Amino acid sequence: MAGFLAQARFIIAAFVVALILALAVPAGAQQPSTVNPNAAAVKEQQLLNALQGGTIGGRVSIPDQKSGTLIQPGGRDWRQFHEVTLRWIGAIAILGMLVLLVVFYLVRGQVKLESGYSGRRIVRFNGFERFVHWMTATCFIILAVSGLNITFGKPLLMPLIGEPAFAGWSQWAKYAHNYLSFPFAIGVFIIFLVWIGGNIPNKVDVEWTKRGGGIVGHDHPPAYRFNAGQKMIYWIVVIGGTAVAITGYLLMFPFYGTGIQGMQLAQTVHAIIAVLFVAAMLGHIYIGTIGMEGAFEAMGEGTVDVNWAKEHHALWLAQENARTGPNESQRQPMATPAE
Amino acid sequence: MKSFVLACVAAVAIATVAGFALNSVQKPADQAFSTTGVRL
Amino acid sequence: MARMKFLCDADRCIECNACVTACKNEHEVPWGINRRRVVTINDGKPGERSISMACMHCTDAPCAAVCPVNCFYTTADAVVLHSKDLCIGCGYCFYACPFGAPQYPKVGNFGSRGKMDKCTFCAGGPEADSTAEEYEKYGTNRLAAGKLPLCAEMCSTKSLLAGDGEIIAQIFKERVTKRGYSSGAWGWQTAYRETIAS
Repeated sequence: MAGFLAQARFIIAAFVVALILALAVPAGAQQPSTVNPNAAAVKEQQLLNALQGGTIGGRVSIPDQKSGTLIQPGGRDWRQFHEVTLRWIGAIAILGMLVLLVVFYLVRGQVKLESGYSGRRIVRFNGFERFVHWMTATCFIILAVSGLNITFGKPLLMPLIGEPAFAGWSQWAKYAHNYLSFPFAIGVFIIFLVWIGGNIPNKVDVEWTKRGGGIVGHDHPPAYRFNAGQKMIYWIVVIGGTAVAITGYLLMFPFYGTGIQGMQLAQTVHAIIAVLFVAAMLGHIYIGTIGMEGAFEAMGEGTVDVNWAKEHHALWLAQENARTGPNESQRQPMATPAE
Repeated sequence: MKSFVLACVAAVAIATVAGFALNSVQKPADQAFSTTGVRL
Repeated sequence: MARMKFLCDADRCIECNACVTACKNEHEVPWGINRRRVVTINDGKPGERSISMACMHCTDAPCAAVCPVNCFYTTADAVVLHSKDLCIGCGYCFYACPFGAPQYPKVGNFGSRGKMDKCTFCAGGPEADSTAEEYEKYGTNRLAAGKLPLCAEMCSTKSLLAGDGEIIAQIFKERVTKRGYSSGAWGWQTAYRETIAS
């Protein structure tokens, strides 16, 4: 009996407390609401100011999560780079190099073989080396032309051939650019492996450079198989080639590993390195063809005249002679050693 | 000359192989973004 | 001459996706291509806002500027359209577009990403108006029939407005005045270099 009463009193007390609480609280909540439904929402300009180059995004129900990005203001900067900045860099680098080469040729002229052809030949590049070089080089030419088309085609070529023809050409150029990137990248890698031994810079290169390298003035500073200028080209090809390959594959697999800013950065790096690469290769092509008498044969058929080797790569010639004995054979245009 | 011709042939060959390989791997958008709820 | 614009009133959008569905159905947009989408910011938190986003048909369109083959053109109504015949599928327009409007049939970029597709403001493409060829490539041409984009027509809350910029700005301003608050006209700063009622 007493337990029941105690329980009842407890329950009534609890109920009364609850009633008081229930009546007390709403009294405050029922005052006129000054809630601003807009208070926590931000405006476009605030977000853009806070961003400084990032993106604004939210939730979407679409599987393609890229659609969750609402605005990416960085696109405007990338547009400015691609339409304006890159064209200036490319034009100055490539046209500048062309002007430089023309002036150089007019002033210095071709580097002649001063002691003349001896008629005795020595193997300079074997068949495999020449194969890799030409595979990489031909791919480079096509990659360069198709790549430059993306940047310079619209202002330079399209007005000449009209939009439909230009679009058709650009379509094929893009296919070539993407397909030939593979033999190019493989070629660069093999070049890296096959010639790294001869391309480590050393003291001889410093001396060679100080003495004008044989092109500034008429000196004949000694060099091993590759002189300082060639080593520079080697490293430009290996480092530049690797860089364009990596950024190029990022572009070819868009958003596989990067966001939109990553893609813009990849395109920026790819383009800048590419135009500088083209400028550098113009110099390489010049010196290997018209710039120097007796040079092209080295890569064209694999042998060079012994006098040429003596004048330009005396240390290499000495090494070769010591290694195999005087390696001479009559100049035979059709037979190429070590094919 | 031989090395040059071989080089061009090799370039085209590698490019073709890469072409076939990648074209079979790269999916069209409707396959790449399909979910269990989608019937194509 | 009208200057066509889109305006999504973020304070009215309820994320119903009627606009998305209308667009997809009207133009038979394939799966994987999202001409219009609804993005929800601050989902689940105070200040949650949903915005329907598609091509904004910008003044000085960045997509048109970066296209290597110049496949974009702007109509007299300031609608930004493009030619799928000229498009080489390079993907640059997506890198430049602030709103992520361009869509591509292929995920990878080996050779091409396929022909770019995007919101056309229901104005078709370079083919002759309202022909089968135009429909196959670009979808319905409602503008040629004197109608406005279907997404805005189907919007359940009339948050998505489409039409002459002056008129929809006026509508929006009146709304904002009447209700007393606004998140601003999303995207107008970036697309048209103007702000209204923010």
